[in-house]
Amino acid sequence: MSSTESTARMASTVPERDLEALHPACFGWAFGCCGWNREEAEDVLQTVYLKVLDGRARFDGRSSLKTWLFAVIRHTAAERRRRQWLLDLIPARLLRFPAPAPAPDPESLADASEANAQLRAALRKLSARQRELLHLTFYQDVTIEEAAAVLGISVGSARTHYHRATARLRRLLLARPA
Amino acid sequence: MTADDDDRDLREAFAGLRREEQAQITELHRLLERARVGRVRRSPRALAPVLVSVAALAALGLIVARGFHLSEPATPPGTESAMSLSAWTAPTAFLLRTPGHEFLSTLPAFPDATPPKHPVAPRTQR
Repeated sequence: MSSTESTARMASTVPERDLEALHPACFGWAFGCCGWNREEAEDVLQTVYLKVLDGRARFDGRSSLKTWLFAVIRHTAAERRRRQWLLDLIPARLLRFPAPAPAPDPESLADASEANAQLRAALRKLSARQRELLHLTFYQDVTIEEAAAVLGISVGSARTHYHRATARLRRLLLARPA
Repeated sequence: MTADDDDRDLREAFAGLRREEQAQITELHRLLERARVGRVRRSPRALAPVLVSVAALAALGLIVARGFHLSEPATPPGTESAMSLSAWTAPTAFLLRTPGHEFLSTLPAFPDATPPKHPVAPRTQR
């Protein structure tokens, strides 16, 4: 498929203007889904945009565009995580490939403020579902109903996760040494 | 402190995180450009499953081919049975062996009848 065809197909499904407006939010969401690994987040976003361009992911209008894109990003990040898990089973020395760089330690991020580093460290201790739910509600400012749609769970379950997650995050942040 | 106040604190904490991360995002046009030309960056480790699968398939193919080769008959069909029939001897064949039967199948060896090689002195006439 040529570049012009891809562009035309994408324009017919998701307008580039809409994609551009949502890109900062999508980047933040992908960043969170990939454990704040910038390279992985970029790869996931690229893959998502390719899916949209190729028509493998089609927006059917049953939810908001943001909710749909977030769900696609989450699904793609999970796919990538599963692949990475399989790769981790193969000793890197057998393949003579360099081992992947470990996820950056929050404290070692030069430009990260102390508060943000503490928040990331606390979020890492939560379960994936709780972390995603808090990211969606506090970082992305979406409602619990929309967050439930992104995560593919019921609203009741999302509320339960929300209350448990906020309580646990609060405890973790208070437990951190000042 | 109420739950709302706590939530406000969390909201502010996440807002700080968002401000920091949004200042470092890769522009959309760069990602879209990569996507349009299909240049998805792939680390060498991303190709590892493909390489491992290819190697495993190749090894499996070799094993199967080798097993097939070993199970193949070395001679054309039927030859082996014919050879075994011709080499077969009855268990009671020794009863037919009579004394001196080897003379029927082998040539007897006689002492050498050629004259000796040493020169004979010529006889002188008297």
